[in-house]
Amino acid sequence: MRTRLAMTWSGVYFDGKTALRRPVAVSVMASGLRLATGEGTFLWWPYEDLRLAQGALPGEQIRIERGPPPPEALAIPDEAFLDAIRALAPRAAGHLLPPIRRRHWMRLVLLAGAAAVAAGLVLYAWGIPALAGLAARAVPRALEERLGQAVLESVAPPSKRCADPRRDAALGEILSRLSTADPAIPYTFSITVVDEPSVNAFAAPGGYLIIHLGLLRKTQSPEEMAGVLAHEMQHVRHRHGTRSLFREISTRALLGLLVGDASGLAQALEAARTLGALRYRRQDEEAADRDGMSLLQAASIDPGGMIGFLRRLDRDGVTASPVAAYLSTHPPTVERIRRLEQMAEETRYAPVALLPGFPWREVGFRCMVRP
Amino acid sequence: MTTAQVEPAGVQEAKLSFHGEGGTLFGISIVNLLLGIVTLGIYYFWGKVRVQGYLHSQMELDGDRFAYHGTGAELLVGFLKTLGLIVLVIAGLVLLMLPGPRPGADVVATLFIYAVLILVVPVAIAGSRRYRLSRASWRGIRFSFRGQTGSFVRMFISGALLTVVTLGLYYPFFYNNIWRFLIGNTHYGTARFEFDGTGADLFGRFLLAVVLTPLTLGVYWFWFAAHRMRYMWARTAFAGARFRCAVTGGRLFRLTLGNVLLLVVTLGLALPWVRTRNIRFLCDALAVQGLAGTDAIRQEALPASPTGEAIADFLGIDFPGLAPTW
Repeated sequence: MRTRLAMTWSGVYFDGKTALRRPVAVSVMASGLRLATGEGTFLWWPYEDLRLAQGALPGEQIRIERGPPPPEALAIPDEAFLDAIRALAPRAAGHLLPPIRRRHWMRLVLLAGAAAVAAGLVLYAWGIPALAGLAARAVPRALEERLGQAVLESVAPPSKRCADPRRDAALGEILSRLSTADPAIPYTFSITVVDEPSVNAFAAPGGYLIIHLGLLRKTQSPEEMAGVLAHEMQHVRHRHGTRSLFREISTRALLGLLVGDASGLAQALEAARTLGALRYRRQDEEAADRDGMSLLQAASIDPGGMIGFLRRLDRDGVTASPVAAYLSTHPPTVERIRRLEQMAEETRYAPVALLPGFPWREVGFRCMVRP
Repeated sequence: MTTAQVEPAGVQEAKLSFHGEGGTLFGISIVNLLLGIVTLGIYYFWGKVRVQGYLHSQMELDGDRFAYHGTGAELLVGFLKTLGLIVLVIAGLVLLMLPGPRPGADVVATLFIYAVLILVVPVAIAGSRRYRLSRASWRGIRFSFRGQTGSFVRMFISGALLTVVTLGLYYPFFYNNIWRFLIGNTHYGTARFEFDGTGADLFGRFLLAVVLTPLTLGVYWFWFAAHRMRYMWARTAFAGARFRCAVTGGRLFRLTLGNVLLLVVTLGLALPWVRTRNIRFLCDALAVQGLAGTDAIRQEALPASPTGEAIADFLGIDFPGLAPTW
């Protein structure tokens, strides 16, 4: 009966001092392992000194270590060895045995996974926007201008810009009329026209307004252009662009963190640099419309231009595809027009004409000079 | 050189073999991914240890498995230290740019980034090798890397510059110098690895590869790479043992083609299988002659900081741990 229990297993013993390999016969006893070196000598390994360094996964060779690093080690190729320990010394050698409660673990992992995904979604939907708003407000204006320049470089590289002295003078005139109307806006604005046929306009952080040639061609009066500019200027003033950049950066960083990719952080910074489209939230657009209209009113510019332009975009938008670009980044136009009309009706005044005598419709808006 | 036509009787050849399965590695990766999500990424470091532990434990030389002794906690500490360094560098950059648009500020910033990068790459290569070798063992004896990071940085930067200046002609010498440094400073316990290759030996083949690679639409490069691998291993020795590598260009080409196909067809999901294929390929091709002398080698483990490993991780550098593969 004694012999049946005293099973022996073949293993290899390393003393941790030399590279010598010593084949041993291992016996599983009640309180430890007995290693027979074959020369009539034995090593006694009490269970409490031992740890399982390898063998917890199926298919792994069993490796048991003893002592401080560099430890002595015992390698046993037969996986059934752990079963023998479980059968003969379940209590004394319990810490050597890998947990069998795999299924329990799996359920815990899945549950925690679901919780983490939920937490991530909450963070994405509310946490990041709130944090981005806080951060955008704290950023010094000098840094905002640097950010804006980087966006300008990537959205409107010098090779795509186009200049036209007469047109630029007219745009400058509209811009100065708007900015003198509200001296409280702490930004210096500049306009860059890009040779693109699509009807689109952006505001990069720090006061860099970017206008596609397609939008310019779509306008029929300086008042319409003033409406677009006033809207974009309010995006700058409320730091919507800066906030959306921060939102983008932290979202990517969060995603990188979730998949455990440290380089995600670097990618996020890179993405922020080359980020082309600035995406605003719906509330941001409404605020820009509302305050843009106020700015027009403060400058005594006819609000009909802004409303008329939107109406025409709405009408053409169904058929002409370049218009879709501008509309897709903005809230439903019908609603916008209704709200703007309401504002215009509440405050009535005698508008002062913009650029009187300037043949806006005849300018044609081409790229005269490539800088 | 070991050009013996007839193998002398009595010289035993020990085989290297790899028992890992792509399926098992895939399972480990999936669990790592899940736990990574659950712990907001913190588990990444423990997962990495798990993968390294598996890969090492499935590698066998002369009947005994390798072992890996790294821990997730030390990797996390290394990561945090590196993160601190990166924040400092970025803060420096922002301060540099903050005063506003100055002529040349962009140029200065770009130069600054490149200077940091060219310094950091060799530091990361040497650091991650020092860390990985110090955590690997065979027959209970730890490996170690004892090259001075400073001399590696000097060698690396001057070699890279020379390669650029000579329009690439210096490349075989540069490559050879890197591996002379990395292998020649590798120890197994008290025994040092030796490497006696020269760049001149590779130069002819390299020129041939430069000419033939474009003509063969890149295919010839595999034959050059296989030749280089055979050469590097033939010139490596330790404790009287020598290596023999039987890689051929055709096999290397088939391996790479298979890997690319696997990755493309599975949209990258087959990465664990590709990793095990690569390791098995190398192990199958390698043999060690005259291992008997290793019995007398004694333990001489050295401490190594995990920071170098973390820097390499940030840069996406995964330099082969024990030996040159390509």
